[in-house]
Amino acid sequence: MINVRDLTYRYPGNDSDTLRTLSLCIRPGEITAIMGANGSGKTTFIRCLNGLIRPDSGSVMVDEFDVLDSANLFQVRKKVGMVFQSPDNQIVATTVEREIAFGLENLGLEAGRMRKKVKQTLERFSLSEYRHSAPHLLSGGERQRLALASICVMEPDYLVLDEPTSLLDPKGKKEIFEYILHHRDAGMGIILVTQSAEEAMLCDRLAVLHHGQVVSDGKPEHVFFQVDKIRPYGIQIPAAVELDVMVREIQHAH
Amino acid sequence: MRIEFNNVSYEYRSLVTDSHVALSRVSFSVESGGLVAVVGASGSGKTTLIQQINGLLQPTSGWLRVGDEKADSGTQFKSVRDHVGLVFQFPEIQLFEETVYSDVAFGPRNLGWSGEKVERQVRQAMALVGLDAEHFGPLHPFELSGGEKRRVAIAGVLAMEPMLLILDEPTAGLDWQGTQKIESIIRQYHDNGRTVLFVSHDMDLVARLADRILVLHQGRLIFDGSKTGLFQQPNILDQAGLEIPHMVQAVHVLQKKGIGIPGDIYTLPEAREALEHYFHSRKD
Repeated sequence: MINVRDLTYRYPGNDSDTLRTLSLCIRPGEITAIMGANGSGKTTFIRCLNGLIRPDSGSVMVDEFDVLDSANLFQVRKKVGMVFQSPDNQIVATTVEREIAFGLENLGLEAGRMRKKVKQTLERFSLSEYRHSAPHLLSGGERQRLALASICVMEPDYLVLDEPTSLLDPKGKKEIFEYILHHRDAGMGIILVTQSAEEAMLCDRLAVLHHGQVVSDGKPEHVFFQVDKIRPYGIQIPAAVELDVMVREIQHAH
Repeated sequence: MRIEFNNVSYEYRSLVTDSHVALSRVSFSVESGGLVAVVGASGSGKTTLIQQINGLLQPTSGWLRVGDEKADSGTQFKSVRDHVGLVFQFPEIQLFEETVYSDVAFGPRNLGWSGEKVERQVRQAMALVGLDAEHFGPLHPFELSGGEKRRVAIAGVLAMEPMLLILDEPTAGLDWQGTQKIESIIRQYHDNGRTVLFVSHDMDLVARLADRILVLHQGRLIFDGSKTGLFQQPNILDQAGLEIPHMVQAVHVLQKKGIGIPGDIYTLPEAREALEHYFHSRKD
């Protein structure tokens, strides 16, 4: 479990806090969607999870490891993998195969085991045929798949995804989401930052951020059905929920 | 501003990789004042198509006409860019001036307009995108949020008052509020009598805005018609790798539950009107 308690953080030079006593638990085997308008603190929050940002106060525990203890950073970053909106900010190697091997090399894995894992991962993410291709020749969806594969090959316990599908076409979005579901079913704990209400509906849980706090947290359908409460937070509400609420209201009035 | 494509094909020729046909015998026309969406999977030719319209690319074969100018493999457009405004994908990465004001003024100044006219155009464009010129004008673009930067970039194009406005994925990567703002900017600009053509993967946005849809699949135009016509043909959407808008899906669910509302509902106000009408008429 990732246990976040009372996180508070203010960027140097700012006159207000970006995170204000934010608390949230991330459980293994679940996808927790995070929604919130621009500036609500989503990106700052997820950067605290693997020590990229050090909060001013509060605590982050990843299983038994305290993220704020810098002696744990190597372990924490092995346990918590991150994938960002644009794969191009993440991909560093010159071929697909080398990109996937990159993280394993850094972990100092023995050559035979490494080859086996790279081969398995290429297959699992349907990237085998592009093994020797340069990443920039792949489509946007394939590049995002590669970014995800190169993190998953290290077998993190938790995966933090910052709007991984927002730049993809519908087919690319669907593919990436299938991989996310697959890893959830394999027991990974997943945090998915998203702007899409429909994507959030497919998750196990939804936490809404506003002014650096969790203002609503629960099953996505329960969170969305409190339409009046969450509308001011500026997030998208699924069309199905909007219509459902509208039908009840108009039915009631007649 | 009228657009006409006649059997336009475009082939990317490369010495290093295989040549690639990006557009294949595309024919359509858009009358002045239309609001048209171009949709299709990544790599279907959408960006290539709009780059033909402002003359960034020239057809390999076939011809196209924009306003009263014509381009083909041997003839380039001469002054089309004075009337066609193109907002690229992620246009904010091209902001480069020291202040928001001079960034928006860059295009109008290049058109050789008087200082007075430039200032009027900049103020008007900033008002149109919802950025107060007094407050935002002197700021450095880096001080703005992602959505605000996008709107500055769009204002820079609107300030030139193009007769035809083209936008490539104008809401990609924006949050919900940012998306809604861009949507209303496009609607307003169109309401002023201009022709607008935009590319998007967001089928709900397409359904809310467009009065006509062009579907591209592997460089071919496989559908050209109304949104209602398109959403009744799931096989075309499937072939093109697209989805039925979520709003339309939700309306279908209500219809299946016996609520007698029409299927061509694309916005919340339209849904409210139809539901009010349905429940009101049932009461009588």
